[in-house]
Amino acid sequence: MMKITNEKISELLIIHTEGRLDAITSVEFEKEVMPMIQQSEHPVLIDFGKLEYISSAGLRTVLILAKETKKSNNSLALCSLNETILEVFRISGFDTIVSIYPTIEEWFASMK
Amino acid sequence: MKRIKNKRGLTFKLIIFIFLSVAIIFTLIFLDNYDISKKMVEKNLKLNAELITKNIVYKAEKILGSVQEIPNNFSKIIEDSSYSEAEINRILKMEVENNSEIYGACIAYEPFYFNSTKKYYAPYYYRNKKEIEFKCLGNEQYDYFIMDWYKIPKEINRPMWSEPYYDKGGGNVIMSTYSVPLYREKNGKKYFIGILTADVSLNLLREYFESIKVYKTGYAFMISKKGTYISHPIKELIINETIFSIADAQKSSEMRVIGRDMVKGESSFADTEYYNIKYNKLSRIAYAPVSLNGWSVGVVFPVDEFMKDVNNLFIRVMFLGLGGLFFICLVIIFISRSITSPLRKLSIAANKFAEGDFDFEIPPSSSNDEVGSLNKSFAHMQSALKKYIENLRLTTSAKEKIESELKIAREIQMGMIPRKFPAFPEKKEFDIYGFIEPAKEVGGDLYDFFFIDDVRLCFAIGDVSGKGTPAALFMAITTTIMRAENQIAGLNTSSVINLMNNYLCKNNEGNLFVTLFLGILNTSTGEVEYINAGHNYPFVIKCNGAVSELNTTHCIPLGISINTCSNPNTFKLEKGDTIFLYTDGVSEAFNIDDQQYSIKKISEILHNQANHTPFEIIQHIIDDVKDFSQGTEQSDDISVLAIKYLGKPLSKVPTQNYQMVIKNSIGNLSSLSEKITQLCNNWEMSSDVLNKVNLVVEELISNTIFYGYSDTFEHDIILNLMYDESTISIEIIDDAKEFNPITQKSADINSDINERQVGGLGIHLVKSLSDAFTYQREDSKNKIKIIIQF
Repeated sequence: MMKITNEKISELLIIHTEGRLDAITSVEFEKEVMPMIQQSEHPVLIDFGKLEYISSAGLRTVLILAKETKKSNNSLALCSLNETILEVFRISGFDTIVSIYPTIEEWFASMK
Repeated sequence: MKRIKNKRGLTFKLIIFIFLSVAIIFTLIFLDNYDISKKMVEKNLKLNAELITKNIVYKAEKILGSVQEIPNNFSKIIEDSSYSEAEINRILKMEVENNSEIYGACIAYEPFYFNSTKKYYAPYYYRNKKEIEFKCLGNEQYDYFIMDWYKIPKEINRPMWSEPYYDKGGGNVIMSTYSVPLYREKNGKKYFIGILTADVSLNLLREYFESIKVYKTGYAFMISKKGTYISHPIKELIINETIFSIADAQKSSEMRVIGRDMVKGESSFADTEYYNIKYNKLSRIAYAPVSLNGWSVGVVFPVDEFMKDVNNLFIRVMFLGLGGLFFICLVIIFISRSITSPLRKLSIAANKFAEGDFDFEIPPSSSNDEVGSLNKSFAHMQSALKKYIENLRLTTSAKEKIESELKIAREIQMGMIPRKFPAFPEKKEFDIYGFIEPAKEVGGDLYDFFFIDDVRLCFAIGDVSGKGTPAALFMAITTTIMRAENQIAGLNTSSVINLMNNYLCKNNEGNLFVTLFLGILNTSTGEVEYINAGHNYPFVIKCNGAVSELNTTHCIPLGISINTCSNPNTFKLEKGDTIFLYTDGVSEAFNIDDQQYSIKKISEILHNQANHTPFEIIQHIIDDVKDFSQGTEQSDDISVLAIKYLGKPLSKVPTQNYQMVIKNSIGNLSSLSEKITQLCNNWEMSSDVLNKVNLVVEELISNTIFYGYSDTFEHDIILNLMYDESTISIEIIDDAKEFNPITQKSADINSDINERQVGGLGIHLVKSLSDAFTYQREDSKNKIKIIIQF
């Protein structure tokens, strides 16, 4: 249900997601993404461009990941959220705890 | 209180007023009578008291007088000196024997006068019980030379009564002594040789005073010149107390004043009242002096006893008065009953009249008094009313007949006009509303609308010249032929109008005519074809709010002359446009100041009505006209018709339901979301709505699965999805433990990343995304219903 790939562009880690981040998939998502984040010493971006759906369980995972990066003085950002997902972030106040960029390029621009 | 009083009957009022008046008069008479009686009794009492007192004084003086007479006479004998000692003693003894008032008698000589060896020589005869005994007074213990009864007369050279004293060693009783000084002539000179005495025992006086009865407990007493009690019913007072010492003990200033007057030798019946010593009763006192020796006699009159007669009289008169009042009451009751009972009967009769029973017989009154005459007047009124009402009944029934016929005519006329709204509930292309209000029961205004085929709606508004029944009949003809001509297929509006005009002209005996606006609306395109035969220009309200008039007239009103109408005009109603038709009853409505409502005002109102339905527009106009005319009688029939074109409606989505049953395992959620996605795609829902539905379902169901069950059994969770035109409703029913998501405290969405918790976030999302959120606990089941609009 969930497809996760990652790439590194000049040391920066970008994690691409595809599918649904719900009560079931968020468990495997956390399992897979956590080690990547822990290993990365540079800012991490999760690309939600192909993510169709997120529920509170998904938000919980995002919070756990964000806390983890904060612990290791790293930073975590999200980009390319669709309208519905962005609304969920706004409603839950998550837009204030994770940086959200419209596109990967804008995130890059902010890194320079 | 006042209201209650007013409700009381005549009897009660009579009793109260007469009773009160009589009671007041009686009380005044009674008080006056009592006062006079009291004064009379007092006057009598005073005379009586003075008489009694004088009588007692007289008696006392008689006793004392007879006592003092003896030594007065006897002194001459002794001074004569020719009598021997034995003779003198015999005479002395005889005097005591023969005068019962005298207790004892003595001759006390100066020292050594009688016998040069004897200092004391005083032969004394006195009573001891029945016997007369002799004693020679005078020794060292009984040194009579210094005693008052001896010394004072000797000094003042005249006889006198001594103060009462206990003669110890002498008579040995309480007594008062009358002493006469004795002289003998020697060498032409008068020498004092001794004192001759006569004693009166105070017991004697006391016995006499005790025998005096004054009323029941009144009594008499006597005091000496110094105020010492000589006689008193209380023995202990005698000699021992004075009237002043008692006054001090009693703290009675009244008594002291009386005592002073008594000692002064005055006589009076004192006005002051005081409490007497013996019975401690309020008393008055009468007193008079005993002229012989300056003593004073007092007579005590207890107030209650001498006032007893007055008080008895008082009680007697009071009882008589009360009895009289009671009797008066009975008389009043009797009289007022005899007055009020015919009145009461009359009142019942009047009530019967009021209820419309004019045949009720008035109770006959035999009396010729005012009540009797009222009875007669009443009977007269009854017959007059009966006659009048009979007349009235005849007149009104004739009038009612006409009115009811007119009412039926109105119903028939109104029945010719479509007045049931919504007129075509199945047609969504337009909304139509009409209003008609004839100035009289029936009127000459008309409006009408009907489909002439599946899509074309014919509508018209018209106004027949004149009002009332003729206009109504002409209107009926017009409506009927309009419907008939429109049934002929393929005719345009001007042909219909021409045919109608021909018919109306041929059969117009009353020379009436009708203005008419006739239109045909193509409900699928909004195109309107119309003819105006002399009618007011209708308004068109564009959906953007612009208002314009359809200011074309095609021919003169119908029924005047046979001529031909020009070709009809056409225009197109866009979606949201409204055509508004009216008769001159609206524009020419008058107010109190005779001003007209005017077409301008209609147009002004219509300017901001683009968003309103025909019903609202017409309601607005009618209310405004009513406000304007302020109750001025409607002068002309009023009719209004409005049609709003709504365009061709979209095909409607029928309501659809879908039910799913999920077992309480989190793994089932993915297949559930697949099903929901499939369903929503079938319903052609946007992905945004789909995601919202999915999110709501996931949050609520996962909550139930994670936290709702404390056992490990399998449970069913029911999910109902209902979908219609604009909403999707989600209903979740589970048998988990009671949990009301609505009352949960709101989730933390503001604190920073370090403090941020995720608890309650799911419910928060559901609340935020849904348009309605309800919870019920029924039959041990949680029932959540959520509505999402799109």
